[in-house]
Amino acid sequence: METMQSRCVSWNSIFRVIAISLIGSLFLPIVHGQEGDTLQSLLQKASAAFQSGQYESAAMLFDSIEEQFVEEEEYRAVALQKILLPMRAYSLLRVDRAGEAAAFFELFLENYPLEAEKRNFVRFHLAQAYEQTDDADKAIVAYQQFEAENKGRPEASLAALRRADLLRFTGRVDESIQLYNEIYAGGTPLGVRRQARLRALQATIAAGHLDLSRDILLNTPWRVETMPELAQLAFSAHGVGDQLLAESRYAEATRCYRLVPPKNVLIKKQIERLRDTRAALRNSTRLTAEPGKALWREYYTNLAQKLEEDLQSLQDSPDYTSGFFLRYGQSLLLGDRGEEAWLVFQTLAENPEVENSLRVEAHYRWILAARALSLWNETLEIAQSFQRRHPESPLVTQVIFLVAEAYKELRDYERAATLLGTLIDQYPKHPQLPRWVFTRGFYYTLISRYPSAREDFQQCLESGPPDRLGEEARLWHALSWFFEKNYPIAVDELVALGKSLKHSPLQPDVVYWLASTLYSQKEFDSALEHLDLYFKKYPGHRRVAEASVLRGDILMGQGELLGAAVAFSKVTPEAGRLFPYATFQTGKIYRAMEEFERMASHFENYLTRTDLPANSRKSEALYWTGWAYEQLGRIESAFPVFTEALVSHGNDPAATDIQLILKSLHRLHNKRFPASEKPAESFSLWLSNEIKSTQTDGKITYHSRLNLYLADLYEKENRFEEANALMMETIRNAPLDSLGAEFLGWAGLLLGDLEFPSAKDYFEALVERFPERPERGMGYYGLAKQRFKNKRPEQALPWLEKLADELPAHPLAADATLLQGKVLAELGKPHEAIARFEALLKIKMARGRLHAEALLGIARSYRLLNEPEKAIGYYQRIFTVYRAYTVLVSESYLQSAELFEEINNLRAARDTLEEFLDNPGLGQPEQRSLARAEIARLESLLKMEQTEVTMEISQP
Amino acid sequence: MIKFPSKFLVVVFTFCLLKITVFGQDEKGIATLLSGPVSVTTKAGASLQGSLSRTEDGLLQLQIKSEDGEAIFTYQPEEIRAIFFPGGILVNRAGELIREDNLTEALPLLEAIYEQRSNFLPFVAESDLLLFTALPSAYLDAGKPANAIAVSRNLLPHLQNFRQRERLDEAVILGHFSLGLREETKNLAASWIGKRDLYSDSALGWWIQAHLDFGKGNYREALWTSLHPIVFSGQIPMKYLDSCYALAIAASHELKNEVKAHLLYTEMQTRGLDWPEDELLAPYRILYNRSPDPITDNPNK
Repeated sequence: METMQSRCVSWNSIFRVIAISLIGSLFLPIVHGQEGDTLQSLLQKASAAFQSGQYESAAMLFDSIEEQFVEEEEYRAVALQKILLPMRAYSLLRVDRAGEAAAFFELFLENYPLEAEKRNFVRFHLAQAYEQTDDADKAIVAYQQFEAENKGRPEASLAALRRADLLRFTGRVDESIQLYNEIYAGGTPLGVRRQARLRALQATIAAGHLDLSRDILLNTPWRVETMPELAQLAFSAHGVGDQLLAESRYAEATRCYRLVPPKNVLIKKQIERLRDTRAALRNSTRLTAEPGKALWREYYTNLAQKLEEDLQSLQDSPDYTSGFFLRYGQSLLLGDRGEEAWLVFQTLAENPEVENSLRVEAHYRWILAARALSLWNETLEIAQSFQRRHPESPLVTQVIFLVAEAYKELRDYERAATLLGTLIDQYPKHPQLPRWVFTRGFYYTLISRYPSAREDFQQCLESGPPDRLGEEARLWHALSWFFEKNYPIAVDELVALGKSLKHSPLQPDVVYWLASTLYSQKEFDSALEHLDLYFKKYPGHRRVAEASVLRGDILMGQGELLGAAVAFSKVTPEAGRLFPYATFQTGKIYRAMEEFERMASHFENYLTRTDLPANSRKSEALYWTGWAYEQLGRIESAFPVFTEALVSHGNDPAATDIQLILKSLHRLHNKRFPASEKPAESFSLWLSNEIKSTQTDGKITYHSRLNLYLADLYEKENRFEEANALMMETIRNAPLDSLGAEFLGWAGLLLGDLEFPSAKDYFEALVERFPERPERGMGYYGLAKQRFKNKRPEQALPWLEKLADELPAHPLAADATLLQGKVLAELGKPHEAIARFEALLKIKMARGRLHAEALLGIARSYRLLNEPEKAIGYYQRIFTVYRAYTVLVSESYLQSAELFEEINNLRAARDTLEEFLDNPGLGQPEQRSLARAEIARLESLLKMEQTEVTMEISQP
Repeated sequence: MIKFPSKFLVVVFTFCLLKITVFGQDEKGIATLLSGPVSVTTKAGASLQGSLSRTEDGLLQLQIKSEDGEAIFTYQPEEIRAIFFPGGILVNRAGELIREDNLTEALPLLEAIYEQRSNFLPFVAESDLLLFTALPSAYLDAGKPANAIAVSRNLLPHLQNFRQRERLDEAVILGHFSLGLREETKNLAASWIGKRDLYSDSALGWWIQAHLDFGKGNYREALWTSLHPIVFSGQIPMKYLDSCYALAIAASHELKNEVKAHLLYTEMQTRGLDWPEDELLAPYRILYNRSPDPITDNPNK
């Protein structure tokens, strides 16, 4: 911090020329003084001392002259005093005799007010003398007078700068800031303006005016490539940045931190600036002895001295760089700039020269940056490297928790729960234990391990105080029943919870979930009552949109379409993906009411919105718009809507309903158009051209969709080979990440049927990239089927359960049920397998091959259970009802024949085989020859049996 | 009438001729100025003038012709103290043009001077070699990247000055980049990055790598690479920072992170950086050169 002590410098050059010439000429008659010194000789000595900057000697000599010659006429001569007084005063000022200096300066101004040239010098240094005697008020006035007398001259700004400093250090901070700002805004030299700005900044920081500091710091063109006071700027920026960070003003903090270079760079730059400033100082000393120039010399000298001090203290201070980077990274991380934060933290964490504790901290925040970007695989890798590098760090528990979270985000809930289990076992007394147990319970819920989840929620309740987490645990305990579809217990627990949580912030959630559970229990009126209560009591609650959707769904189910539409209309775009849901539900209502005009305009309005959330299903909205026009018979309106949908969304892998749009377009081509709107080409020609152009343009996604549609057309025409060839060619040429959900699913199924192991990649990509799309059902089914084929039935089961749970109405649901039965049978669970097959038999849509296979599965299961009669019954149902499925029928005949023999009904066994052979379309040649051999064997057995019976009868 | 001595007139005439030649960049004139005899001073103190050449095994040969005949002196490199080449006025003019940043006019002069001396680079003082460090940049500006690479690689073994070596390294990278030699450019850029401090005054290597990635459609890599210098840049000017911003904006856009692209564009403007001349990136400037949306573009919302 600056003091009022002046940093004065050599002023001798001002008087050097004047003093030598005048003192010589004034004293031609030599006057003798005491001890042999004449006035002239003493003046010459004093002048010489003054010239050489020996102010101590000069002051003593001037004192001595005064003592010896005060009465002398020559000494008191005006011409001499005009020169002597400023020199003497200045010498005294330089030897810390500021009071006397002030007196002599004042005397000069009093006696020689018209000495304009010297007056400036005297006034300026009188102010400095006042400063040194701590008479700030007088100093301020003196500087002000200097400024007034030198208005418009650059030197005035130097006085103003000093006056502003005085105001600042005497507590008149606001006045000082105002004056600094005036200097900055004035036409003074750049260096002074910059110093004024910098000091204003320092004053605002010291006074705690954060906004003012921020404004000065960020709205000043600092020209750091040339400014000397780099270190001061850097430290100020660092301080303001820290304050802004503490106030969560991250973007501004980041901008401030950008003004702070690392210490080594700052030192290098500061040395360069010091060198430049010294060069400027050398240039100024070459100038003539004009008082104005001298003031500038003093200015540069002070500046160089300050820079040297700054540099020295910078070099002596500990390295701030790593700590600074940590805060800079934090401002980026919290300011939603995850990538940049990652780079800062990674750089720190991987630098072996950084102190270990900072590296640990940086590594931890690096994980947080990856997490903020939702890059879960990377989060996992960085967290695992943290565990390897810093196993002893107290942060390791938090890191393990983050790893578990990453697994959860990667949908590997099992591993996430296991990892938390390790954490719970290793740190049983950790204060975060209840939180870990609760989270594990939550993960168990996600993998449908409800009993385990409930155990955790219960443990969490018992291990911690009855706080918010405990309340959450109770709520989730109840919800676990809800997810398990055990609604009555869920209702009981929610009702009990609601009673005990009268004033808890969770109360609205409880009411909402109660309504939701009652809805699932088909108690619609009661659910609506709870929803009404919810809306009335908690109108601003975060689940209002969900509740509105629920209300809409209930009313829709009850046929109260208008009421439902009103409920859906309460959902706004802020509700995220619920908004598209509500919009499409409303669309369904218009469709049910056959209000096609409104339906079209409803979706058109939706499409023109600019506030839609991500994944807003625009292509689907376009499809329904076109569909509505089609219903209205306005083909000419529908056609461009579908075309627009393809142009805008065809190549977007995330777009939905593209196959439906193609189908609609196909249909429309065959309809009658008004003459002016008639498409110029047939659909097949259009499709063929479109396929060619998308290939040329590199629109891979759209190209694959068109090919999928064409392959489907081929299949419908029984051109299976062409369909498969087209699909395979598309699969070969399209990178996995360019494919949409439907293509991934169909490609996976085809590859799976052809027994390509790469089918797995397609199913996994489908499940990972499109976790909310119904097409993911193909992925679940495909993955299950692959695992079953690979003799891993236990791994197949969870996928099938997931399909049944999440997508019960999926087109592959029946196939999945059949596969589930087969898997359960393979796992040695024939009763459960039979239950699945029976369930399939209840699905009317699955009549035909699927039912036949279900019967076969049941028969096989009964065979496993050693119940041949029951098994035979099911085999017989197959070959009586499903004769078209010759493979299944053949197996049924052969198996039931075997079973008849097992129960010693040889005749029935033989008859069954004969019936089999009577039908020439059944069985492979080897099966048929085997049947014939069996018949022969059975005939001989029957004969023997007959012989035995005859013998028994013929016995007396 | 004032009479000038004839020698004075000759000097004036010669000076005028030189001025016309140098400033008019007449090739023949330049060649004439550079074609005079070379002075060689040996460490033993002898000074001789003649025609200088280099043998295949690295020896210097000075050929001196006189009325009496011809003499050839052969020197080991370590015997030489200094070599003085003719054409000092051209060197001065080239220096002036470089200081004026007029590399187009400097190029023919630099080329000629370099040709005169390129065989003797180990014998030329480093301070004199510094003139040639502008030649690769002049070649790049003139669309002759192969020449830029060749000259840079010739000069590099003879220079110790860190700044100038950096400049030549950059010219080598830019030369490869201009020639479309992707793999070599990528390796050179990686090596450049490996040698740089965090807070560098140039982002060349990062820019080149990001540009190559962007060109191949590797937008994620392009984004991360271009963000590096952005993160570690402050108020101290950094070359190619504007290009890195433009790439980061374009890559963010391609990655459908338009909020980030807007944020970077705004920051680029706040930092006083102009959009660079780059055909590949020009469309993105049009996309983001608009008033920020108070809701979606406010990072502190």
